[in-house]
Amino acid sequence: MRVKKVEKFHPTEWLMRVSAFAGILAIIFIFIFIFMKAAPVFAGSGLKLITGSGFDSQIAEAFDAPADAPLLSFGMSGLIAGTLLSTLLALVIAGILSVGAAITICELAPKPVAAMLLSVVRLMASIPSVVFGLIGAMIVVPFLENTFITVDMQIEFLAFFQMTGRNLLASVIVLAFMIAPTVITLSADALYSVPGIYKETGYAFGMSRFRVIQKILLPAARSGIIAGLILGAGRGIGEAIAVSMVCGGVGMIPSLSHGIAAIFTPVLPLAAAIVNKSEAMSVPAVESALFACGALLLLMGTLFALAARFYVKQFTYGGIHEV
Amino acid sequence: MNIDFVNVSARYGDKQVLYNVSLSIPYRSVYALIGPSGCGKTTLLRSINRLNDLIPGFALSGEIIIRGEPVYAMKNKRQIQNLRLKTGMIFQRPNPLPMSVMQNMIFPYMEHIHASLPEARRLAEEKLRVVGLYDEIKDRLNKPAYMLSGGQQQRLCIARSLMLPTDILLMDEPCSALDPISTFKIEDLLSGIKKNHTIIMVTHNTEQARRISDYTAFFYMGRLIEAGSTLQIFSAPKQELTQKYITGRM
Repeated sequence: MRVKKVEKFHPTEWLMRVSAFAGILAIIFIFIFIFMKAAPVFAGSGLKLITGSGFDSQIAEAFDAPADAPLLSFGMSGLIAGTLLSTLLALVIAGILSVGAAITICELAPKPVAAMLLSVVRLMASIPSVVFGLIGAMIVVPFLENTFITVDMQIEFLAFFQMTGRNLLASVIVLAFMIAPTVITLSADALYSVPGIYKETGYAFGMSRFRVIQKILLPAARSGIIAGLILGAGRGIGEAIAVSMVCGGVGMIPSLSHGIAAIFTPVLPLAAAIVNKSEAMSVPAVESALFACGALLLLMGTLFALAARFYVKQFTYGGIHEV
Repeated sequence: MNIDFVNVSARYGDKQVLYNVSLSIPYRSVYALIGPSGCGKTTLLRSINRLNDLIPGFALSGEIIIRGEPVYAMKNKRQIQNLRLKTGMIFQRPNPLPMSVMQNMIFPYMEHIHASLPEARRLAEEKLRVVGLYDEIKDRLNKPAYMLSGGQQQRLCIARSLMLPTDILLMDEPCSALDPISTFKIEDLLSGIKKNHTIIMVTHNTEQARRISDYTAFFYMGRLIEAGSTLQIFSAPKQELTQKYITGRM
């Protein structure tokens, strides 16, 4: 028997290595590039970048400022608040809807219906975000304007902002529907991967279907559902076009002192700000400010991705959950 | 108060797995169901607490009568849940839920019975003593049940089913995934549980059936070939097939 000689050089192996390193390098360069571009604004605003406000007027001033005395001080607290608020609220709505939908798909619906629902959900995930934005602008915004916002309210809040259908709530609704497919898919996967024996065990105890779902399936699928929510949050934070079409475009921090009307505050999340203000990008200071938005987004996105990794890992290694 | 099978036939979709089985299981006995793989004994066992209803395409004709009640005439979900509650089930592979040992013990109990937590814990400790597990693991009660050995997990599952007001225990090859010592421990504790439980056990191990059961039924290809006292089945089987199976020539 002739043993095959071990080859020293594997072209395919090297091709794989090169592509892997190319990917890593590309990400490193993206980080470096964005932070380099954002550096003037980071230096010019310092901590005020996160704590300060008045982004909209600052952009306008920076645009009009003379080239030899550029305005580099920006305050993005409104943008950060808009990003976090719209994402978190959307996550709450999407989370409730999605877990319900996933339970329906995995447990309640008959097999053919479940398969159909799941493919609809997958299709929903592949709808371009600008279409969500269009539907938001054409249906959600007029609906909010006609149903909830009265002239009296508009007059009452005129001192603070102009109340229209484009506001935090519209962004939240549009985002919720964009996040939902991700969360449904991951939750359904998590529910499907709960060992069938757990379910049988529950039924053998004489538990009803809903008790089995509530007390056995959901706790066992918990990490997967949380991972889905975190990935959904990642999508929500980074969503630009759709949100910029319905958010109102003013970087305000919704104030609790306005009561329930606070959800009608126009907002400007970081990603939407990049879209909205990109027309002014010809001015280097504005460009730098928008890259600073990008850098903040990147940091937030990285945080969420790391959290997701942590949870997915725990999930795939069969982490043991307390019930 | 026997468990009576009356002309039970069962099918999964087009595949018939049981043909006209009629059998009477006396109260508070250990009844072994033996036969080669695929002979329908597990199906029969799982029909008793209607757990097969979960499998799409399953259909059963005939009737199973427990405590004088026809099981397959039950239409109300509550009745079925109540039947399952009173019928403990031990699976082939130990099936602790992904919780701690103690939570496993009190979870089904708290599901069904209004009791305080200390009460439940006390009962759980008592039942763990019944299966001889308490002294082995008393310092690990709050550790995940998965950290126990396979044999300990199976005894935990038996103790867990004793928490509920069961008087029937269904065992689906409870020892096939266990080592001989664990098997011996479980066989040993069955003689104690037998005092107030009817135990129906599917087993591939004819020696086990001979050791611990009072009655044995032999199944082949979905048909009940022979049933009777274990002594009779193993010493003087009436059917040639039974003879062949218990002597290992099939």
